[in-house]
Order: sequence, then C-alpha cells, then structure tokens
Amino acid sequence: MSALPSAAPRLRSHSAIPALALASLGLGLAAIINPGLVSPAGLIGWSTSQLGLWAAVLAQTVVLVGRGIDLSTGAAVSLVNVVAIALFGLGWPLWLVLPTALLTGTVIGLANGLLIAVLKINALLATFAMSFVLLGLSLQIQPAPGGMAPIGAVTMMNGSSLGVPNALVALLALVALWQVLARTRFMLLLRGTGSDPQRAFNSGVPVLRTRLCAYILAGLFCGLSGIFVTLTIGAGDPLIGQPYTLLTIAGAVIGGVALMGGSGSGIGAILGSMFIGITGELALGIGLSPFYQQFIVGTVLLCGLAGVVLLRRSIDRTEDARIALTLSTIRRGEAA
Amino acid sequence: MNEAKTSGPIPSEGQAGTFRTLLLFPHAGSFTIIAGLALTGFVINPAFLSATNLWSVLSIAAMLSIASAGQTLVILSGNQGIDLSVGTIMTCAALLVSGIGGTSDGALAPAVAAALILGAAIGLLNGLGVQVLRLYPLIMTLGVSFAVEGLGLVYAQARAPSMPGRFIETLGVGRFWGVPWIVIVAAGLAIALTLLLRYSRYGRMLYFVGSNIRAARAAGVPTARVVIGAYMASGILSALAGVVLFGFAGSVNLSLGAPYTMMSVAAAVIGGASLSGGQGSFAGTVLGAIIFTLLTNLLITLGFSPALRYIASGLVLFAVLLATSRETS
Amino acid sequence: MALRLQNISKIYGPVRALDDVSLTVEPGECRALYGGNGSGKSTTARIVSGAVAPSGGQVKIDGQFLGTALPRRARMLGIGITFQELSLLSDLSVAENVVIGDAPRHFGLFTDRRRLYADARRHLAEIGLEHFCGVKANALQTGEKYLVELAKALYLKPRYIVIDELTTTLHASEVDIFAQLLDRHLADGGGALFVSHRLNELRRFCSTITVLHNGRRVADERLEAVSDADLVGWAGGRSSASVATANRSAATDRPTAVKIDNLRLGRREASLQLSFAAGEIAGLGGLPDQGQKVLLRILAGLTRPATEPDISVAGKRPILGAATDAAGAGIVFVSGDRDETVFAARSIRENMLAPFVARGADRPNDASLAAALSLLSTRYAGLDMPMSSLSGGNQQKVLIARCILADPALLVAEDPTKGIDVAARADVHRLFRDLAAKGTTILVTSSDDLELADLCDRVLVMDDGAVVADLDRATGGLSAQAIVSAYMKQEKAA
Repeated sequence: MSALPSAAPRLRSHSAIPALALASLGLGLAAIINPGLVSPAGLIGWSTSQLGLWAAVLAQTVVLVGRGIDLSTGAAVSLVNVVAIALFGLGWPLWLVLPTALLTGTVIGLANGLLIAVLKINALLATFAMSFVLLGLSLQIQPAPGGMAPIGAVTMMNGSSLGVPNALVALLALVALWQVLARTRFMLLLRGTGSDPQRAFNSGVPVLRTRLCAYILAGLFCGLSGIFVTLTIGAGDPLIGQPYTLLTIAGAVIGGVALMGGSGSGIGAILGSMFIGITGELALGIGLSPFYQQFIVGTVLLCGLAGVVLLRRSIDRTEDARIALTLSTIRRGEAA
Repeated sequence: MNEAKTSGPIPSEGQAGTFRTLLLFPHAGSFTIIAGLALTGFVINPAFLSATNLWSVLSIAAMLSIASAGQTLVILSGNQGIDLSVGTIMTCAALLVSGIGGTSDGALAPAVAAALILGAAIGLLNGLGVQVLRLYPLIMTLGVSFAVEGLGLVYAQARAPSMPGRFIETLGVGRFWGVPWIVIVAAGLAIALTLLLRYSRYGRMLYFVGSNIRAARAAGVPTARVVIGAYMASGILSALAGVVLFGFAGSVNLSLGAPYTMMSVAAAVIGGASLSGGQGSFAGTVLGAIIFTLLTNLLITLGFSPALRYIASGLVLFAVLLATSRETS
Repeated sequence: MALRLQNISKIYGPVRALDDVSLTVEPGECRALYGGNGSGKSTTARIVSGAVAPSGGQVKIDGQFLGTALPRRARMLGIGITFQELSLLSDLSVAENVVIGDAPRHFGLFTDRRRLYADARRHLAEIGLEHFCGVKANALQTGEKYLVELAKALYLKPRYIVIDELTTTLHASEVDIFAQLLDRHLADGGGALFVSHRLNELRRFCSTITVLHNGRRVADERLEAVSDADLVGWAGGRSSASVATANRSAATDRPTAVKIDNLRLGRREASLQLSFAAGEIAGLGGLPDQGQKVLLRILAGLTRPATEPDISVAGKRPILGAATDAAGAGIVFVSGDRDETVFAARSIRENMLAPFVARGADRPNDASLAAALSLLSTRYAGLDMPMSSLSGGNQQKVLIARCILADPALLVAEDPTKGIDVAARADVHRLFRDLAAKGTTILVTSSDDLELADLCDRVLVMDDGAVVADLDRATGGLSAQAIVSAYMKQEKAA
C-alpha cells in the first residue's frame, strides 16, 4: 500500500511539455538555418526583442488561470512605455521613473480588476473597452513614435554580463518571480477561483479579492513589460504593444494554460511565446520575402495551437486512463 | 396554494406575465439610449439631427450592422462563441473583389462569388476548428485571422489596389429615392435574418445549441452541423460585408476591415446578445450598431481629437456594459 | 449555545421561497429538514451557509449573528455545509479541495504543501480515501466526490453541519461511512441539519424534524413521535404507496422491441447480449458506475461505443454515436441531471418542442402541450415562461411530459426522479406505466433500489460492464432485497 500514494502524483505538471518541445525544436532549427542567431550578438538581439513579450505573457497567464482574459495587455504595455519616455523627457531620474512606470501598470490592472471583479462586467468586453481608453491615453501623451530613454540604462539592457545577454538574465529573474508566485496561497485560491468561481465562493474562497489581485498582478507584469520595452528600444511608441494582446493569449495557450481557467504555468507560457517568436526568425532565416512572413507565422501558429491542444488532449486522456486504473486498483485493494 | 395538488397554469400569474410583456416594449433600453444620444447631440449642435447627418449616421450604422450579422450568429451559437476573423475576412473579400473585378462591372459576378467562397471556406475552417478540434473559438478564429491576414498581404503585394466598380460603388454610397442603398441592404438583411432566426428550423436549433449544447444534443439536434453552419454563415456574411465596405470606403487597404472585428462584438453585445449564447437577436444588434455609431458621431461633433475619442468611446462602452452586461453570480 | 434561524424569509421576485421560518439545532442534535420540491429546504440550507442572503430574519450561531451573506463568515462562525451540487473544484487535487477554506501556510503568504497534504491525508483517512490526496477531484466517482465534500465540510471542525441531500447519491457502504462521521460529530457536541427526501434515512440519523411546505414551517416534532404517513401528509404529498403491478401481463407475452448484441462495456472481454420486450419497464441496478449509464448513453446516441455492437430498436438500426439518428429511430433520452436536458433561458414551450424542431417533425399545439403537463400535475405560470422560473421538480415534469408527446419506441431514463419529491415521483412512475402500456420500452437507472423494485418489470443488476443478475417480476424474483443481495455478492467476490 505504501507505494500507492506516489502512483497518484500531482497533475498537470506535463502541461508545458509540448511548448518546451516546440520551443526547443524551433530554436534548434533557427540556429541551424541562421547560425548568427546563436552568436553573442544574435542572442542579445533576439532576447531583447522578445523580453517585453515574455513579461507580458505572465500578465496574461495570471489572468487566464483565474478564468479571466485581458484584451488590454498590449495597450497597457504601450501606455507604460510612453509614460516612461514622457517622464524621462521631463528630466525624471531613472530611480523615480521605474517605480512610477510599475505603478502605472498596477493602476491599469486595478482598474480592470474593479470593472471585472467588483462591477462584474464580462472580462472580455471590459478589457476590450479598456484597450480603447489606454490607446487614447497613449496617443494623447505621445501621438507618434519618438523620445529617448537614458542612454546608460539602454546600453545596459542591450548588453551582456559574463557572456550572458542581460535580457536573458532578466528572463531568469522573471522565471524566479513566477516560481515564488506559484507557491503562494494566492495562487491556490486563484486556481480554485478559475476552476469554478461559484463553487470556490461556496468553499469560502474570497473570490472577489482573488480576482481583483489577479488583475493588479497582471498590471504589475504589464508595467514590467513596459519598462523592458522602454529600455530595450530606448524610445516611446504609442502602438508598440499592440501585437502583444493576441501573441500573449496564443503563447499562453500553446504553453499549456487553460483558457477556461484553473491551471497553467508561467514557465509554459513563456516557452509558448518563445515558440511564436522563433517562428518569425525561421521564416526570415529561410530567405522568404517579408510579405510571406505573417502568412507563414500565422499558419505555423495555427498548426501549433491545433497541435498543442490535440496533443494535450491525448496526453490528458492517457493520463486520465492511467489514473482511473490506479484508482480502481486502490479501490479494489481497499475492498479486499 | 398547495404545490403538489395544484396543476396546470396559474391564471393570475399568467395574466400578469402577458401584461408585463405588453408593457415592456422590446429593446426599450436601446431605444432610450438612442433617443438620449440623439437629444444630447441636438442640444450641443442642432445640425446633429439634420437629414444629412442622420443619413450619414444611418449609413455608417448600416455598414456596421452588415458587418455584425455573422458575429451575431456565432455569438448566438454559444459556448464562448466569438468570431475574431470578421475584419480580416472583410478585408480579404474587398481585396479579392478589387483584384478580380477591377473597376469594371464586367467581372463582378465571378469576383463576388470568389469573395463569398473565400468567406465560406474560412468560416468552415473556423467551424471545424471549434467543433472538431474543439479549440476555443477565441483562439481558433484569432489564429485563422492572423494567417488569413498574411494571405491578404501576399495577395495585395502582387497588384495595385483599384477603385470599386459602378455597381459596388452604388451599393456603398449610392441612393435610391434618397435612401442610401447600404441602409436598404442592411434593412433587407435584418428582415431576412430575423425571419431565419425566429421561424426557420435552423434558427430555432441555433438558439437551442446556444442555450445548452448538451441538452440540444440529447434532444436530437445535430449540434455539430448547427455550430459549423453558424461559423460558415459568419464567413459568408463577413465576405458580403467586405464587398459592401469596398464600395462604402471607395478604396481598399490592408487594414480596411480590421476595426470591424471588435466593433461587431460591441454592437452585438450592446444590442443584448449574451456571450454565453442563446440570447439575443439581429434586431438588437442593429440597434447596438446605431448606438455605437451615434456615440462616435456625437464625439466628433464635440470636437474630440482622435485620442480623446478613443478614451471617450471606451468610457461610454463601460457605461453600456455596466447597464447591460453585468454578470450575475 | 445553538444554531438558531429566527423568522427567516426569502423572496425571489414574485415568489416567496421562505416565509417566517424558525428552527433551532442544539449541540448534539441532528435535525431533519423535510419537505417536497420547492418547499424551501435548499434555500434554508444556503442561507445558513452564507451562500444566500435572507430577505428577512436572522441566523444566529452560538449567539453570534451571521449578518452579511458570505460563506467565509459562516465558516468562521462554525458552519460546515455540503452542497447538493457539490463545491469541489475539478482542477484542484482532492487534498487541495479539502483544505481550500483555510490552507496551511508559511508566513501567511505561501502554501505549506507538506502540511497541506498531511492534514488532508488525515481527514481523508476517515472516509477511506487517503490514497486519493494527489488526484484531481474530477477523477473520483460520484459517491467518492460526495464523501470528499463531507470531509471538506468537516475540515474546519464546524460546530454545526448542514447536509443537503448528500446521501441520495451514496451507495449503502458509503452511507455507513457517512453515518460514522456524523455520529462522531454529534458525540463531540456538534449539531447537524440534515436535508433529505428519504424517510428511512431521516429516521436512521435524526432525532427531531422540521417539515416545510411552500416555504412555511408546518411541523416541528420529535421524530419518534410521528408516523411516516403524518410526515408525507404534512409535506403536502400524496401517499407514496406503490401502485399495484400484479395485473400486468408478463413480459414474455410481448414481442421483442429492443435487441442489443455484441456490446462490450468497460474492460470486459465478454460481450453483452440483451433484449427487451415492447412495453417492458427494465431497470439497470447495481453499484454506481458499473456500466448502467454508459449503456443508456450508447442507446441514446450520446456515447460512441468502443466496439461495434448490433443494436436494433423496433426494427430500426440507429447509427451509433449519433443522437440525431437515435431520435429518428424513436429513442428518447431523459435524465435527472437537468444541466444536460434543460434549456434554462428558453420558454417551457420551446423546451417541450425541441425534439420536434430537431427532427423537423410536426409540432404539437399548445393544447396538447398543456394536456401533457397536466397529466403530471405540473405547476407553471404559462408556456411562455422561461424554464428557469420552475422548481427543479417541475422542470423534470416538463421533460417527462415531452417524452409522452414524442410517443417513443424506447425511453431511456437516467435516474429520472433524482431530487424530486415523493408525490412527483409517483406521478412520474404512473406516467412511465402508461407509456409502457402503450408499447414503449423503458430502460431506467436509479440510485434507489426500492424505486427500481417498485417500478420495473425486470431489473438487470450490473457489475463492471456485465449483467450479474436478471430479476423478473413475473417469476416473483424481483425485490429491493434481491437487487441488493445480487450486487453485494459481487462486492464480496471482488
């Protein structure tokens, strides 16, 4: 009997595996087709271009796990970007701009949270409306790309330490941050809320507070993403984050985050968005005209989505069958 | 009253119910908002209610209604149904008509046929992904729209965009006895879709599927066909909307239809469609489109910059959502 | 020191669900809350748990007012509740589910996983499910889920526990586990409010009883002082005495209508071969989840069988796994799980017409709809009212009335009387017999062996996808005891 408990381990640990496989495969292929990508300069270039997306996908993941969705992620990142650049323009020092930028993201998250958790507006529509407001604010602050971030900080963000690009160091920090988050009581309550809000409420979970926190946390990650974007490109652009909304949702889903809430890991989501990011490199690497790039990326993305969902379903089915078998063994063992 | 022993309808409550239905004019809320917006516009600038401005608002709303027709069907089909490929299909249909038909009316029929077939094919792809692969509609239609947009890019680079031919131009901006053709088309579509949804077997099954897909299956409704049908209809209607939009805008570019994806969702939802499915009507969507258009028009009248207009329309959308789409839990 | 409900009322729109209801549960007391459908039992349970706010009155727990409706506050004041529709979260492990109300933590911020699993294991050991700690909650069987629901309610050591229709879905051995936990809770000075339809269970577990009817308290008695007939009378139901079935002709006289051959269920190697006569009411009994439901669902076209069986119904061979085709072959499905059968937002009329619309058949007019509904004494305000305006029992009656209109060759009924009161159950049984008399074959499952013995001409007891006993009324071999002993024998053999 003592062996049985381990036969029924914690589940869903496998949900990020397809994304890991896809991301490694993509990276490997890209490295073969375009060896320049794995050169120090290539790695810096690629990782800095993706860092903002990696932070933003964590924002989307937190919200998705709580059975929400955020269609304002991209607009929030853009707003943080133009706010930071505007403050730099006013002569604010770096140590004051960064917390203010984070605060901006957090306030956006709080606003989303209030609308969705407290005023109970459908998350899809509330964040859709929010994206309009944020876009308008960004355009009002800075109608066209421009401005400059302090050159020192930008150089550092685009540099490397001990041969490792600083953007990858930041990625490691993001991963560590997620791991800490995953161990909090909040995350347990969030998974419960995402699994079934009504039942979670009946179970004594503070559903309202948990959902509110999820959006605030997402805002914080958007703030981080906005800071990364600002420091990697060194300028402001009111439309810079626009593709992020869709890319973060797709990345999270490929990374094994359940759209219906309840489960998902930030690591998987980052791997999923890495796969999306690498597809573009691949299309360029094989020398296709840029006109074909989106079609190729879109088709691969679609196949990736379909593939991951189907793969996950079949893995789940085998896993469920295995668990059912284990459980019936246990049941029989007890009946005897 | 004794529950177990009382059988049959309860007369008093039944009559009260009928009475209440009579009092509650359908879409009373939407009409109130429309009246409110129109009145506000009139107070700010009396020209807001001039015939010119009203026909302009109605034409824009008609365009949005046509673009929201497919979206309404998909949202009605329920189970998180949403079609984020509406705008992309519209753009591609316009590109195709421009590419095949050119400026003459000679190749109009094959051009429009090609656009509708393209719409049907994309809709079928969406439907198969949602129903067979069981991908979430949001994700499936999003991915499809991304890929199709790329396809449009590839197609567009090969040829210079043309102006629409006479027929399509008339459809978009022409008038018939002073009434814009686009309004007539939208009205015709509204009548046809309302008849379809209310009285046809397909329409009733669509409501069943949207209301509870498991119960629909248990009652013998061919759920897969109904759902795939909704996405295909959405593809075809969006392609049709793209053809009309080509005439309405007078030219075609790669982001021509893009704003219509989310505006169509907004119109349907403002018009009372529930994103959980099974509730709503196309008449509601048309009213939603009118509200959305009036609002934007009002903001322009107020002299808002595009940036402020974005903010204001976002805020008003919040207000409408607060009034109509609060989730009860 | 007691759980007191003082003059509670609850108004939903025009409906007064509870009207000035008061009751008290003392420490060590198990009070039954009894009544028909829509009598307000579940509403009362929800108000005590903090899930629903009362429109008037107060809930007082050991002298403290519950105040705002918040399940968390009710828990803190010492209330534990099992929900009829469960509160288990399918994405969480069983252990996480048990402790979610107050999970052990480090520094107040982080989940202490080691202690969480240790605590949960200790609690689950009491219901014999300690090995299921790490499993996702939705991998459990129905009965196990309800036991975990109980463990979850007891985790915070509540002073008072509210048990809403928990035992209806439990198998006899699981009821025994439940009884042990309840006894310990009462012996420790806890109180319990036990909501159930089943008189034998009320008598087994409770000492006092409150009877509700139409939201009013109609009796408050010591249970030993009242007879079953009194209770049923108070609840407003009719006599639950079973209708005589002796004068019906034996199944052997009638032609075979449903033939099943070469059907394999579960992991069984051997295939099933079954046949049912026209007008026969056949029950599928046994322990839960032994293939009864899968068999029904395959017949209804809702589940595709793993192998290719031969199935014919009234000479037609429906395409397997296609519900549309099954409906075309005259097979109608009805289930006690209303999530799977009810279009809550649509009108009563549309709910009744759905199968006709789906088949493209002629639709019955309003008069025949109303006639079918009145056969079942259904209470409704009008055919235009949404289905959600009816109580659960009345919704179920609408669905059964729909079956009458379809005049099916085969009626497949999955626990059709789940959660409906004695009088409604008698109505449903009468209707099934009428249908059978007109030649419809009826296949039915039930979690209640007495119901099967009462209703059916023949009961097939199933175990792990095989039929282990075929009990026929004609030969006098059909009784609840016979059903129980047939599957208990299997239990011992396993």
